[in-house]
Amino acid sequence: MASSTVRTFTDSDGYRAAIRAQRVEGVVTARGNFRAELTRIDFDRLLMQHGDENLPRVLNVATTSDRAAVIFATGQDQPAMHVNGVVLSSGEIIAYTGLDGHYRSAAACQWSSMSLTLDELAAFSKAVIGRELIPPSLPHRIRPPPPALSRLLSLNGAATHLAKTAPDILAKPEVARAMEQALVEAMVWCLASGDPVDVRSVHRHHATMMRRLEEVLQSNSEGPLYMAELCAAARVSYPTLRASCQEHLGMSPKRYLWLRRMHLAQRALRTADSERTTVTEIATNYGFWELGRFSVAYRSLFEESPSTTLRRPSDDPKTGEIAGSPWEFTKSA
Amino acid sequence: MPGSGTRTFLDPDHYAASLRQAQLELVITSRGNFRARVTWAELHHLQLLRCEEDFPSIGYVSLAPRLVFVGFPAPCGPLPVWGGRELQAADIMFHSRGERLHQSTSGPSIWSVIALDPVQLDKYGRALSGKPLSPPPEGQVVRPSRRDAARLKRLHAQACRLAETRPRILAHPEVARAIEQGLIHALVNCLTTAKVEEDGTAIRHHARIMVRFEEVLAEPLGRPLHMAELCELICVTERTLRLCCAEFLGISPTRYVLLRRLKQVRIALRDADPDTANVADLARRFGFTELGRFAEVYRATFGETPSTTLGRAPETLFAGP
Repeated sequence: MASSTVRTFTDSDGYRAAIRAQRVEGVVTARGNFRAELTRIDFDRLLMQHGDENLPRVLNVATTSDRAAVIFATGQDQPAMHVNGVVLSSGEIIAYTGLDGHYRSAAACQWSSMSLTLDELAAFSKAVIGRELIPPSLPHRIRPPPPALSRLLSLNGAATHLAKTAPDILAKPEVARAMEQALVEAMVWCLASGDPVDVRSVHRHHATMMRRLEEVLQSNSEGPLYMAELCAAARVSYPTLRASCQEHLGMSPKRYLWLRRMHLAQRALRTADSERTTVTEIATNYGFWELGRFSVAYRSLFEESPSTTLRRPSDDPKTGEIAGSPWEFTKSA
Repeated sequence: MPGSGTRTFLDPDHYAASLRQAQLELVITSRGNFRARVTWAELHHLQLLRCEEDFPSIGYVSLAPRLVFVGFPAPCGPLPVWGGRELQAADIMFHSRGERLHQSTSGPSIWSVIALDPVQLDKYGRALSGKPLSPPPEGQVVRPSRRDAARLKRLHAQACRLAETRPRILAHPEVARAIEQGLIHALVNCLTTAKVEEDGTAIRHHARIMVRFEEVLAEPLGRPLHMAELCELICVTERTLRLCCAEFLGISPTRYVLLRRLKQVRIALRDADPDTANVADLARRFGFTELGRFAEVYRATFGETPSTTLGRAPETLFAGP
C-alpha cells in the first residue's frame, strides 16, 4: 500500500512548501525561471522524496529527529551538492537524523531522500544484517561499496519512474510491499557497509554558527536583516560567519542576506494589490533605495520586471504549481 | 523617525552655527564670496554630515563629547590639514571623545562626518569583529585599504545625495536602516582593519599648544594681545608658536589673530542696527583704533567696506535651499 504524488512547480516558495520536512526555507541563487518536479512516495514505513530542480539554490532544512534518513544525488554528472557544508559527491550518500542545516546545489540537481523511524531502522537492520544500526546525530558522509549504491540508485529510480508513469501499479499492495522491502534492504546495506568519511571539527563549529544564523533569520522571517544586526544577534563575528557561509552556502553572508531580501520583495510584490501598492513602496520597505538598480537586479534574478510581478493577478498559474499536472495522483492506503 | 536636509549658506557664521553636534569657529583665509552647503541626515543611530566649502578656511572644531566622530575629506581637490596632519585621500580621522582640533584647507573642500553613540559603536564593533571598539584617547588617522575606504565614502555620498534630492525616501525607516547598516559595516571594517598612523610626540605636544592658544584667545580681555603676552599665557616660546601655526593653520599667529578679530567685528557689524550703531565704535570695541587702516584691512579681507556690512539687510545672508 503506497501513495504517491508528482507535482511540478514554477515557484520556489510552493516547491519548498511541498517538500516534506519540519521546515524548508531558502533561496534560488541564480537567474532564470524556476522549475522543479517533486515526487513523493509514502510506503507503509519508508518515506521517499525525489526532487528535480533546474536552478542552483540554498535550502535551509530542518527535519524531525525521530527519523533516520539518507540523501543522495541521482542525476548523471551533476556537480557535488553540499549538505551542512559537507560535500556530497557522486558515489556517496549522507545519513542523518534530525537534520538542521543548509543543503545547497551549485547547478541544476536531482536528489532523493529516504527515511524510516529509528525503531523501524533498528528492526530492519537486525533482520537484514543481524545488528541494529544507530545512525549518527550529525550528518555523516558515507561511501558505500559501488554495487550497494548502484542497487539503491536503480531501485530508487524505478520507484520514481513508477510514481510518474504508473502510479496505479505502485499503489497495488503487493507491488508496494515488494518495492519497499527491496528499497529498505538496499538502504540498510549502504549504511552498514559503507566507509564513513570523517567530518572535521571545524565543520561542526561552522554548522553551529549556521544554525544560529538561521535561528536569527527565522525570528525575523518577514523583514529584512543586515550584516551588523545579524552578527550582533547571532553572536558571531563577520570573519567567522563569512567562512561558515562560504562553506555552507557557497556565497558570502552579505550576498545571502541580499538574496533573501530580494526574495522577500518578490513575495511582497506577488501578494500585493497592484491597485493600491507601488513597486517603490515595496522596494523601499525591503531597504532598496536605488530603484533603478533594484529593477535591474530584480530583472536579472527573476527574469521579469518588478512591475510585471506586481501586476500579475495572484491566481495566475505562474505564481504557483502548474494547474492540473498530468501526473498528479494521490491515493491513501 | 529619520530625517535629512540640505542648506546653502552665504554667511560663514550662520554656516558654522548650523552644525549641531560640533562647535565650529571658522576663519576665512582668502577674500571672496562665501558659500557653503551643508547636507545632513539623521538615521536611527547614525548622524551624517557633509560640508562643502567654496573657499579656503581655518576651522577650530570642538566635538560634542557624548558622540563618537569619524571624519574624512573628499578625495577630490586640495587635501586638508586636520590637527596638523596632512591627510591623504583614503585617510579617515577617528576622533577622540570631545576632541578639539584645527582643520585648515587651501582651497574649496568637502568634508564628511559620521557621528554615533559610543555604545552603538562598541556593540556593532564587537558583533562584527569580535573585539571591543572605542574611540582612541587622542585623535587618530587611520588608513584603511583603498577598497574599504571607497565603500564607506560611497555609501556616505549616496546617503547625502538622497538627502539632497529625495529626502522622503531617506525618511523611510527601512531605507534609513538599510543605509545605516551598510555604513556601520563599512565603518567597523575600516576602523578595525586599517593601519593606524602613529603620531609622533612632537605633533601631540603641538596639538596641546594649539588648544591652549584657542583657550587664551577665547578669554575676553577687551584689548588685542601682543605676541609676547600671548606666548607667555600659552607658556610657549614665540618660535614654537610660529612653528605650530605654520603646521596647523598654514599662516602666522599674528595673521590668525587678526583674521579672528576681523571676523568678530564683522559679526558685530552684521547684527547691529544701522540706524543707531556706527563703524568706528564697533571697530574700537575689538581693538581697532586706527579707523582708516581698519577699513582698508577689512575691505581687503571681506571684499566690502565695513559700512556695507553694517547697512546690509539680514535676508541676503542665506541662499535658497
